[in-house]
Amino acid sequence: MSNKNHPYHLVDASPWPILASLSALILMSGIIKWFHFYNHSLLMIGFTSMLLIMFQWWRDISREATLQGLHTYTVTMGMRWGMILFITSEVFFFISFFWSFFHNSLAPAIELGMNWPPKGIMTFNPIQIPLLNTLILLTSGITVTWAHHSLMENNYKQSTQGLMMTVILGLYFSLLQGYEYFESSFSISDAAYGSSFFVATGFHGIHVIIGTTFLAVCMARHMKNHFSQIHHFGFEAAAWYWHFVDVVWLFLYISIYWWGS
Amino acid sequence: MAPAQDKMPLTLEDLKTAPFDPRFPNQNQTRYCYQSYLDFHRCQRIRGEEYEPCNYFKRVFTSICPNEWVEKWDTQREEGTFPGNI
Amino acid sequence: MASLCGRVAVSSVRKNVLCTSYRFASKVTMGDPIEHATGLEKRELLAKAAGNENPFDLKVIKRGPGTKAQPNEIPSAFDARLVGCVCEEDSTSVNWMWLHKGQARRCECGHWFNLVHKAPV
Repeated sequence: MSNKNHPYHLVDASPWPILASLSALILMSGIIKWFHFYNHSLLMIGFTSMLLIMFQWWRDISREATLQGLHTYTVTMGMRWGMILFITSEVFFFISFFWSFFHNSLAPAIELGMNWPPKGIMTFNPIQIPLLNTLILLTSGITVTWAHHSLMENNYKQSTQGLMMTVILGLYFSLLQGYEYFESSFSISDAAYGSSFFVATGFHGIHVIIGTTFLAVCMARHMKNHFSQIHHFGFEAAAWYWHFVDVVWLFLYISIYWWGS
Repeated sequence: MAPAQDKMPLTLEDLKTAPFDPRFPNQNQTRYCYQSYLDFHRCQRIRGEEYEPCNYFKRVFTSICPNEWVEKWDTQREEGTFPGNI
Repeated sequence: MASLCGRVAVSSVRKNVLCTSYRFASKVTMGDPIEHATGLEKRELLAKAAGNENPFDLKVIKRGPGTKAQPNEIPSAFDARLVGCVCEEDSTSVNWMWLHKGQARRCECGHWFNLVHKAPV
């Protein structure tokens, strides 16, 4: 009947890995072309191809899991490790930006007048929109945990509600942060303050968008009944990622917005 | 700085530079230079331009700061773009 | 293409929301998780529910007498299986060998193995 008697998933041949690599090449070349020649045509092609390939690759994975039943317990364990290692690598990615921020701010250079924040930089008031953003993300951490517990208790309706609220809060955060960026009196090129601020919060914002998208995809899959009470690793991975995004924001808020202002 | 003695050559004691400052013990003395510049102008602002002890700081930064930097900072102060707090 | 995806996504979400609103009367669940599963995952879940914690025979097998008359029986769904004998308790290497159907085999340390058919999961 079957030609294997083990719990592992040896995937069928797929075009997505090689296409994703080529797309990454186009994306990277597009970024360079944009930076040096002020032309974003290649970048747009790169983004489009990347999005299409990601959509199809992950669609194939959820088909293999939900519709073909190929994700045994062992396969899920492997994916748990994978997600944990990936998030750990992202933590180190952010550590490098925090390192750079503290390098610049703990002993400010003489070019900054040995001041932090440098003279002339109007920093964001930490108890205004940044505090609201902190509350939004903390609340979203609660709603995603509520959604998870509902899922584990086989409660479809509350799980949907929890996920929906989490996605809405995520979108609200991005909206507010976008508004802050728009209204900012300083830009990325304004001294070491501007670069450390916008690089750190900018990468965080990208991760918020990624996390929100991941949760929205989980919501769509949940509404199509992909998840069961005991098997919903995609949702757990999204929730872990979302908690990571929340924790990074807390560090950003304390270090850059509060201490650094 | 050298005493104007008739035709006496400069001795070792005549040559002076900024004294060792334990706040800046390492090879990179940039902050010592900058801090002295700041301290001189703060001293002048608080005590007035005639106050002689302020000149201690002036002698320090004149010795150890590159002249270009001092000129640049003086220009910045005139134009109001000096980043330090005086 | 993108707008088509967008319209499909919006209409399917709207459809699902409308469907779920009619089911709000009773507690809506995702049903029985074993019923929900399919394929290999389902067979694994059924085996575990029936009490078999080792449906794929991956756990280390403790050797029995291992004589020629009473060899260690190694389950396999196929005609051959790789077997590794840990000759002594603290051996630093495993003695690997292919075990073929119908051909009992002896490890160098003296233990006999025989392939026994077992249906695949």
